[in-house]
Amino acid sequence: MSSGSQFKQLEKLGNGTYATVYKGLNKTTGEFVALKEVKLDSEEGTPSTAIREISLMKELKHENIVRLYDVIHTENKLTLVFEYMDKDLKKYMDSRTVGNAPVGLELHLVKYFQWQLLEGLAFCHENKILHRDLKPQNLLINKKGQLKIGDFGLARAFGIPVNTFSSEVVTLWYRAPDVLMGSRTYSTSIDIWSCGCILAEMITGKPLFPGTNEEEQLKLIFETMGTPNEQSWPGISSLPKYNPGFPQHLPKNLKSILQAHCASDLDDTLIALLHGLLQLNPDMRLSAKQALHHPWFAEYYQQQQQ
Amino acid sequence: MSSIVTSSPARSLSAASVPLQATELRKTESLEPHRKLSEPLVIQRHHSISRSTSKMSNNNSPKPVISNKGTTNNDNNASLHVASKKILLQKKDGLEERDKENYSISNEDEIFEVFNPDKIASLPMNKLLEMLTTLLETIIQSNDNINNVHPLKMNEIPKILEHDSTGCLNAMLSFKGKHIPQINLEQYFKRIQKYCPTTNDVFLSLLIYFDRIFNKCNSKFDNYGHDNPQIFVMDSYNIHRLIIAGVTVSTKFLSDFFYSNSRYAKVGGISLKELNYLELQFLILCDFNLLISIEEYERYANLLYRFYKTNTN
Repeated sequence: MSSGSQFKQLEKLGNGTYATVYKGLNKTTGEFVALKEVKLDSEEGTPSTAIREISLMKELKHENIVRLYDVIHTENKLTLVFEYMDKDLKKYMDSRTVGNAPVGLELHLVKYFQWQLLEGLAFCHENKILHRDLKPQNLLINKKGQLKIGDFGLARAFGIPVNTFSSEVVTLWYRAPDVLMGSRTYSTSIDIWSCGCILAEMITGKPLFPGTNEEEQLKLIFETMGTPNEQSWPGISSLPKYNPGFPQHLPKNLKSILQAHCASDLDDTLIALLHGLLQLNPDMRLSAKQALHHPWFAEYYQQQQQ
Repeated sequence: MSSIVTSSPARSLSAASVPLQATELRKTESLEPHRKLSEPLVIQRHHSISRSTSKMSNNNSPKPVISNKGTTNNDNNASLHVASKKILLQKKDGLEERDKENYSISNEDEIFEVFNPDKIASLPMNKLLEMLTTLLETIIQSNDNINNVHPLKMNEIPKILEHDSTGCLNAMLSFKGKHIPQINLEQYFKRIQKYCPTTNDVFLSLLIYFDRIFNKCNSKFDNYGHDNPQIFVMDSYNIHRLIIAGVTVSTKFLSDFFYSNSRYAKVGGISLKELNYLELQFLILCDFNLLISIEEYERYANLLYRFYKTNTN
């Protein structure tokens, strides 16, 4: 822990339920930082979100994960000192809309961002940490085009098999179908589904499955990806909220759906990667490591090997 | 311009946003069968740091053990050191002759059960709590005895505080109660499990966290000279508070389902204000280093089991 006087507090960047974020200046180094102030509540004590964020991000030192530099404790608050990033991916995409029409990112940028997202996520998963809230708002970017995963308030470590996993995790639009059906035995595949949704959103500029409630969310997913059954997904019928009467849909052509909202031509390897990330059956989804070796990223991993 | 952490507001402002963890957990909490707390427990208010310090200067009451590293045949016999392999060796070598038989390992090569994650998870809770109680009671008894023989010299405290840049001693003193609570450890653990039910990993993690705190606090004074004080010493005066603060922190970190701090405080027999304070002190003592690898769980489960097997029967 270091002393608070080392940082000059600048403008407010955002307000949250459990924290307020300011831009800050490290007076010693002249670098900008983000200062996340967490109030220590008299009922709740130290918020669990802060406990998780600090203890997990402390361990996760990777260039695609926002770095937590320090924690400062003063009287009734904790201040988390983070690496400063220019904006989040959601705001970046919103800034590009023309009138009301969403515009996707250039495909080379989509690829670069998705690669970095998967690199950061693979590192989390290697360290036995689930993020559980991946979405464009939680992906921070800077002017160099770097992308880093932030906000680990919902994250948790996994290891000892316990029944204390909640299915009320991940923002609805990015929540996997197994979790929507009440699964509490999910693992790393929960984050992979979100990565698939984010990839599609970067391509078209609009969310892939913008449901307004859990029921509609599942409906939107099944309408596009097809309704799963025991054949395509053994064990599905034992999920708490599985309904044998789900309306039956055949999978639609994902390529033509996305192509309608994208100016450049989508190639088949990209669509194949999307299918790998958006497998309804969690056991069939690619791992982050596997996704990084997908042919769509050939130019990156070939470069790495050289 | 936005920054890393604006995600939190974005989350709650988003039209499609969903119940988030914080609210969800609170909700879940109220859905949990809340057992009525029919057994009030009040653990005597502890000294404030200044009070306990001044009191200590007047008499021989509760004080942290400061054992002299290297001056006894084994610096670990005070041993709140719950660490790795040492524990059994410690017990074997470090204790008085008369105890040796009880604590030594009958056969080093004896094959003990090996714990993997599934086995840790499926261990019956009562058994785990029994094993934990056995270990912790042995440690605190041993430390209580040393407390009596080698009381912390009051004139040492200012000197220690001077070296204590991390505030370990201050933090540790905040766990020290004025009296030994009436409730024994076994009853205390059962009470926690009854009113704030949790999973095996949470109770097992306590050992790991205590050990981390031990290592952090007691290593800070390596350059203090040969009178190297042990700052973190679990004894009868602080063990209950260490447990309830540890359970609160660990549950909030490891589980998606946890109770309010006011409930943990009530169950633990201390005030909410005190628990909030101790929770933060516990986090600081741990350096917020809460992540536990599977290998660590396995190692500590094996150690705990071996200790139990060797010291019961």
